Amino acid sequence: MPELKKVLHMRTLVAASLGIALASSDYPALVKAASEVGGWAVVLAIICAGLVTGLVAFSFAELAGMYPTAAGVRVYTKRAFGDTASLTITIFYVFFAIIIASAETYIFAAVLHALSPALSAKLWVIIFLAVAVVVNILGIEIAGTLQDILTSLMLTCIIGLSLYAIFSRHFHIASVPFAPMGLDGFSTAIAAAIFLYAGFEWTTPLAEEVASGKSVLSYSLLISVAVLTVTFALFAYAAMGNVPLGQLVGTPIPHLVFGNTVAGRIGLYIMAAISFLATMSSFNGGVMGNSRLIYALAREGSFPKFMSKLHPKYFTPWIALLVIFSLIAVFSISVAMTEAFLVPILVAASIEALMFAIISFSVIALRYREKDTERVFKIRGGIIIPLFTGIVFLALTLGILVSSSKYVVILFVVGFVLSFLYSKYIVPRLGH
Amino acid sequence: MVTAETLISTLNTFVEKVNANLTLKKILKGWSKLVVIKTKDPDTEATLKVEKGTVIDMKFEDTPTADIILSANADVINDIFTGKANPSRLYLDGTLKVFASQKDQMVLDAIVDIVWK
Repeated sequence: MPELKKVLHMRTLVAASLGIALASSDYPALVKAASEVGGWAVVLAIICAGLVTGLVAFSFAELAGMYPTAAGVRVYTKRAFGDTASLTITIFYVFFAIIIASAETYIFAAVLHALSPALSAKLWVIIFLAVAVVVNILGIEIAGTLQDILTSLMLTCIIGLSLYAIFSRHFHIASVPFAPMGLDGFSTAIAAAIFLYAGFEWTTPLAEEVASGKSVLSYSLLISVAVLTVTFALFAYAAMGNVPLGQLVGTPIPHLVFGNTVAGRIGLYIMAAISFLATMSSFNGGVMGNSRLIYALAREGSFPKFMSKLHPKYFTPWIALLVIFSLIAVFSISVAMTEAFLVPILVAASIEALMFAIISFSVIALRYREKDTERVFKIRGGIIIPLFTGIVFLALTLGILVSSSKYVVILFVVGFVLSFLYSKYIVPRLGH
Repeated sequence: MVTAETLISTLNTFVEKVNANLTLKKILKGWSKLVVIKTKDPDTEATLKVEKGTVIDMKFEDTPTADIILSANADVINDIFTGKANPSRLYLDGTLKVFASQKDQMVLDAIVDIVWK
């Protein structure tokens, strides 16, 4: 087998994974997790979420090694569970990407509004999406060395400011309770913390650009989860020791509140800059990747054919991009009008947890269905790890839904049911 | 079952169609890549050298490195390059493997789509 002339290496894969996962919407999710336990036990919740997500990374690695494809979820689940189930799951996953992008758009708009209050968050949403749609249609991508630099810069700033906060004289973690809400909220805190890792797996499509699909990708996913765990645990510890939880809850920009409290205007601008980089890199990987998935589904015949139109100059799926951005605009403006920013975050967390469960069960199903298919990376210990993560993430999905508002449950159920009905009844009628 | 000779003939016909297509020439004027098509059953390897949207060379021997690598069974590759099969469908069920940057994959798909439109 020949090698690709230009292959991606470990550092770039880790940077790409971190770039997608490190998002502005992580901070309100982290505060939501903290509010469930009421104290700095949130650090423990983040570590637990990191451990189980690390275990699910093995499943992604095994599947990406078997099928190195940009349409990962579609291929894995089609092989494991058949066409209709796979299409339902894939469309639900696209819905997840739109929801997460909507949350990210609103949070970033809130950051811009905080810096420039003359323009409302709603207006910033529109300005940001207008710029993002043009950038995406032009096919401008943050890749390679630039991604490495931006991710390193983000991590240095977050970790640097967290350490500065921990070693400042205002740090008072000793007076902050550990878990005043008791352990009842601990599992919900872990479930909310899963959001912090959302999108880390979106580098599996890059398996097609890794040297012969070797296990570089598997290790990059594990490193990414480890770095995210350390970064967010450190940030949470620093935030809990410097800012009363009450000041962080209820605001879409707790990271700016933290920055301002710890280092005044400089801290605020550092966190705003981090937010800018985080949103850019998350959007870049997430939206572009999903537009290509929609394009491929339209070419396959699962979406209307017009969605498979490519821009003749930039080779970007511009119709798919316009569809995605229109939906993001509807959801993010709804969030801006209601200020219910936790709803899309919790919906995304619950869908991501369900996806992690499905991926784990896909590994198990394919162990029996496709025993002889070559596996570049194989999880040791039989089906124990995927079975464990499958059950854990299924429980976490239910945990989020049971403990969240009715709007979270409604969006989750409506999204899933529509995905199923579309796959079962509309796709066969498309007939192309 | 597809023989190596059939596959060579299919690829030759496809290359002729690509080179004769004015739309492709226009939209691929900046696209120069080395594309390897690797098949199983029978094992063959075709290397297509594309310069500014025109296939200037095709040889059937092993190539150490390439910009784009397509890999599938010979009958699958034959169906794709004769326009009988939808490459996206085969790609989405894991039958066809494509190793390339995301953008090059889109370009490749556009080529197949335009040729068989």
